[in-house]
Amino acid sequence: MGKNILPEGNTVGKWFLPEGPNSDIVLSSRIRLARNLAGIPFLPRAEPKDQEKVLEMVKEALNEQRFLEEGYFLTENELSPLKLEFLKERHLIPLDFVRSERKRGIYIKRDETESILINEEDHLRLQSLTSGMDLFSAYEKIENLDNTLSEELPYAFTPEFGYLTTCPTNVGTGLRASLFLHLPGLVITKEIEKVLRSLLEMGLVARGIYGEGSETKGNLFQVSNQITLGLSEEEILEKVTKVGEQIVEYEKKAREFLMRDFRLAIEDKIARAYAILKNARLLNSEEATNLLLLVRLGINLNLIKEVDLKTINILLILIRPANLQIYYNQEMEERERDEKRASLVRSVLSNG
Amino acid sequence: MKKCDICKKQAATHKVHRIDENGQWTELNLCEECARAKGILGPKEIKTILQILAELKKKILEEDNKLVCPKCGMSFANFKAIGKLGCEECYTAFREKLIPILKELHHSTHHTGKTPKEETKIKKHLLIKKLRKELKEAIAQEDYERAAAIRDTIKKYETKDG
Repeated sequence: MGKNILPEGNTVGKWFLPEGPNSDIVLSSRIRLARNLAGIPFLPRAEPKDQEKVLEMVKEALNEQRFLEEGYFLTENELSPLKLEFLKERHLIPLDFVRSERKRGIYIKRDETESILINEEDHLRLQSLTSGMDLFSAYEKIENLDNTLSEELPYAFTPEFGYLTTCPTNVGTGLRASLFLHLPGLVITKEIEKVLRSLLEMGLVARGIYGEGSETKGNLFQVSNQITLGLSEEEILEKVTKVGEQIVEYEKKAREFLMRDFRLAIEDKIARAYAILKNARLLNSEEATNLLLLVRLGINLNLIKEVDLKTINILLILIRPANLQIYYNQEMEERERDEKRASLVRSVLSNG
Repeated sequence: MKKCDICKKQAATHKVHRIDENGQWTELNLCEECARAKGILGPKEIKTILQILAELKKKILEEDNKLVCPKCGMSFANFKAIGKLGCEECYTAFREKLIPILKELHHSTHHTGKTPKEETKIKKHLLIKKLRKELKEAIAQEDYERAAAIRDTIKKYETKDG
């Protein structure tokens, strides 16, 4: 297998296509499992040779169970800064991942639906992504990968505390279930604060997707469980799904309200966003994201019919700085990126 | 020198501010004796209390430093500083001190989920969901024979354990 094999720059992971349930509001569902290997110190105490051993064992297990041939296995030093960003933008590596001396690795299934991060906070972080609100299917996939790996790998586990994790916030099931939500209706009607507060009361946590300070933070949210111990996997998934469905209902109501009482203002905002995207000569990443999200809303409200959700979802990934450069197969400065981004969006939307 | 507001005899050594039930700000000058009788602490007493607290804190830190995981050498004090454990044995070595932390974090101290290699009931859950959808379709198409068959299958899965 070649060293530079990575997901193709001109495709997006299946999980980002709007095919799952409620995908007008729920972009995707993600499951993450934290696992550690018995007999090897956790990362805060792991020597380089321990980390090396974890990498070897995981790779061996993936090979043994024929997963290796279905995806890409890369170590951190094989990843250029650009490729690292590329994977972050595709949600395959956590946003707070920074380069270090640690011997980290990543396994990515070819369709980008499943991945394993090795030697991050825990020895293994298994991740599964699906389109729309579908935590159960995402979990089913990752349980399959997890259980198959456990045939080869001795997991750190006790009946009392469950799967043992580096941080006690993850102990037990090691399961974090997240929904990525697009909630412009609740943001515009200023109902979002209330919704987020009630989440906390139910032991769930919400945060913006693209990190602090970015405008899009206002419209895209990630909702996940905090409790991992004392609830079964099913109970956690059911809880997050139930709350997610509730939020979807609130968002739908907010959108109905806006379309009833502020139709002209909403139509205007969306039409302007669409017009800018179809005509702009320079677009930075943040502006493009915000405008695309407005067009996304426009499609869901049946205000825009000549372009579909799938196109917008793909654009939302491709216009991100590192993805854009890999798509065009050339390194670009910011100014050049803004030009290429505008031209990509223009050409896609005029063909749409 | 001001006299004590209560006994009106001794010299006042304490100045006490308080807000009364009407929200009024009042000032009271008290002598040593009357202040003690009212349970008001002087600088001397406060200093003693702070000293006791500091010693207690030191003692806890010493204890936390002494509590060390025999396998990886991580101390409980170190865990408290970084929030991360050093190895699987830490869970045994720090067990008693971890339990209240877990209770705070998860409102629970016991795992109730799956064990390694064990399958959850999620496959079954998804299967039943799929069958229910098929059942709805069969009824919509007025294919009652198929609907009955699907219904039987659902019943079978729902009563079967695991």
